[in-house]
Amino acid sequence: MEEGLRFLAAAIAVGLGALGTGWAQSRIGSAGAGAIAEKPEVTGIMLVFLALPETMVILGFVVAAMILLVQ
Amino acid sequence: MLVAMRRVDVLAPRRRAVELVRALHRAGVVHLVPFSALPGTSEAVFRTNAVDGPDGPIEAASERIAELRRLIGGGDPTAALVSELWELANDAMMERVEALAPIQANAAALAADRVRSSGERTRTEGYRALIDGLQGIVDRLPALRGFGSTAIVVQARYRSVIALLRDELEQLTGGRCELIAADLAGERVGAALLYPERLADEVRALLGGRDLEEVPLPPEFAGLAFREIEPRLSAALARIDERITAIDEELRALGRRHGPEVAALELVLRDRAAEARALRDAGASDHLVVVGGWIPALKLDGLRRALSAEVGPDALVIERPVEGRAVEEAPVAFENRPLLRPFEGLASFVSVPRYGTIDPTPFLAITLPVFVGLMVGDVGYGVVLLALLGLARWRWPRSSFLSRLLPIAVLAAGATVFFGLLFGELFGDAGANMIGLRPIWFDRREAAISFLALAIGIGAVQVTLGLLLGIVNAVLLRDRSVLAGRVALMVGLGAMALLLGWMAGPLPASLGYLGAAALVGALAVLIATLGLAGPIELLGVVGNILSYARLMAIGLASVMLALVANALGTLSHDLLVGAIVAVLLHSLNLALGFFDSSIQGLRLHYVEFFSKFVEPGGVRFEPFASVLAAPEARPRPALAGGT
Repeated sequence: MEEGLRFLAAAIAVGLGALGTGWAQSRIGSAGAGAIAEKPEVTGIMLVFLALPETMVILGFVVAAMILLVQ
Repeated sequence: MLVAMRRVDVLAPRRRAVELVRALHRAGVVHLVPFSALPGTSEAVFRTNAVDGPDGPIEAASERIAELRRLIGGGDPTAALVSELWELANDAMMERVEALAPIQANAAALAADRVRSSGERTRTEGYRALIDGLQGIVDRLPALRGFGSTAIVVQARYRSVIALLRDELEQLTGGRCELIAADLAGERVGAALLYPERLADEVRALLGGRDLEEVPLPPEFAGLAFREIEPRLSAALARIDERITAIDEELRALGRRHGPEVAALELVLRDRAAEARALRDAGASDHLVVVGGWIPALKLDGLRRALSAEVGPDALVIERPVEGRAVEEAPVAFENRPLLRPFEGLASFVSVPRYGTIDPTPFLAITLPVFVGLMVGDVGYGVVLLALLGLARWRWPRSSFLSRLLPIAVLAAGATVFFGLLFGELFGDAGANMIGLRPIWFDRREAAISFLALAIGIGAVQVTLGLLLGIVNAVLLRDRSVLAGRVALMVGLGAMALLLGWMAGPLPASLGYLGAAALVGALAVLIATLGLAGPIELLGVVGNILSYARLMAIGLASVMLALVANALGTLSHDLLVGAIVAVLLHSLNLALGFFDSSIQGLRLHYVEFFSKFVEPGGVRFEPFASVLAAPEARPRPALAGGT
């Protein structure tokens, strides 16, 4: 039972982080597509902007790793 | 490192202003700035030069020649031709431009004819598609004496109008009619109508009243039977194609004959226009002209010698002392070893560092390839990338983009091979299974905790280094508030580490108390310097360090994808199918792995590392360099995104 709860907690940690990241990336992606359409030279910087919100899922991943791996 | 700059004012007699600007242009070492009053002088003496610059006609000629080059294309200009044109006076240059006027008129007429012919071709193609579609319908109509026919086309979404039309047509003709409809290409429906000839006007009125589109045909095809039109349309298309080919050939011939001269003129006229603008931005008194700018300190003597040789002793280069915040106006030029140069564009990609601060290029050049190698970490992928890079260089030997990309990519591929050996990976576990490759350091799949600790440890080291460099930058810029904030962040970070060590057990309580006291002090300083955002900034630094966990997360994802590729490849009993599946998946993993790890590696530098010490807001050094200036004098190509 306790083992199952740990897996569930880890899944929630990384899953909610991923949802947050996905939502933020969808907003940045659509804004970025508009910006690139007007100024193609910002393509590179938009790729970096798109990678910014991934911190959320990475932090969720760290928490999940701690839940699963640290005894 | 960032190049040391000097603020200079270059003076010459006003009558020699054009010579001075041309000499500066040829030297190509000064970043020009608009005139500002010389120290100790007033606007009554020196003011912005209201020159009689010939920029109007020159700009217009430059645009005309650029348009001509766009029309006729042609080869690259020879260096000798460019040099010859560059030495011409403006009048002589304009004569050369005028001599090309008949060519320009001819090219413009040909281009206009080509546009007309292309439009005609598109229209005729449209008719043919329409006629082809309707042909099948018309063939199904019975050929009856005294009956006329017409065709209509409607958008597919208005298909229902066809049925209404049939009813009305039957009512009008007393049932003596036929209507056949069929789908055409382009979301359209075509319908052919057969009706008594004597009712032609009423039918037209019926169609006109419904605002329906009758098949429009060029006047020369009006009245012809459908089956006669198609061959004529094909013949018309062939004629148009011949005309277009002939026009293209004439334009190419013009390009072969005049292209190099036009290209050389375009370059030289662009230079002339830049010189006119430089003269306009210069300062002038009744007798003198002064051009201001920044120059790399090491090139100052060379400029003096060049001006002395070209303009004579009348030209003077005066160094203007710069103090205080005025130093920050100096443009930024990078000067690094050849191996580091390709990274300069990436280091200033998001923002150009301010003059007088630390150049982030060497740090990026060391850690970016390491991060990519750490994330991809596979001997096989590294070797394949090296082979692909070698192939690309062989295929495009003179590509400047490849020349800039290659050193970065080769270092990243080398690091990938190195870490692949440390982790014992060759296309995932294929190396272990086939040649018994074993990890020298640790197995990423099994030592997840060690890998995570390594990633976060790298983050702690790099972020701390960033804060240290930030402290150095604050000292260099003499900004006490920023200095206090960064020192407080460093102290706060150390204090949190002590507290964590005490709470986790290994550190004694005395160090824990010391950490708590230091943390309180650091928070107080942060609130004083950054306001309420100060404590959040400290938490942000912790977040920055944890963000490096992506090195492990993406690395783990990469190795797992490689394992999946191998596993799926072995599922099939057919060796060929298995090999194809494995190769496809490994190719996908290779492309995704290098792309994603490059983006993530850059992001870690820009967001987590550079934000701690790079002072944004610098201006890129863009020397006033003519087309004749040596390539190293011209501005280095910068990646997009910098300011």
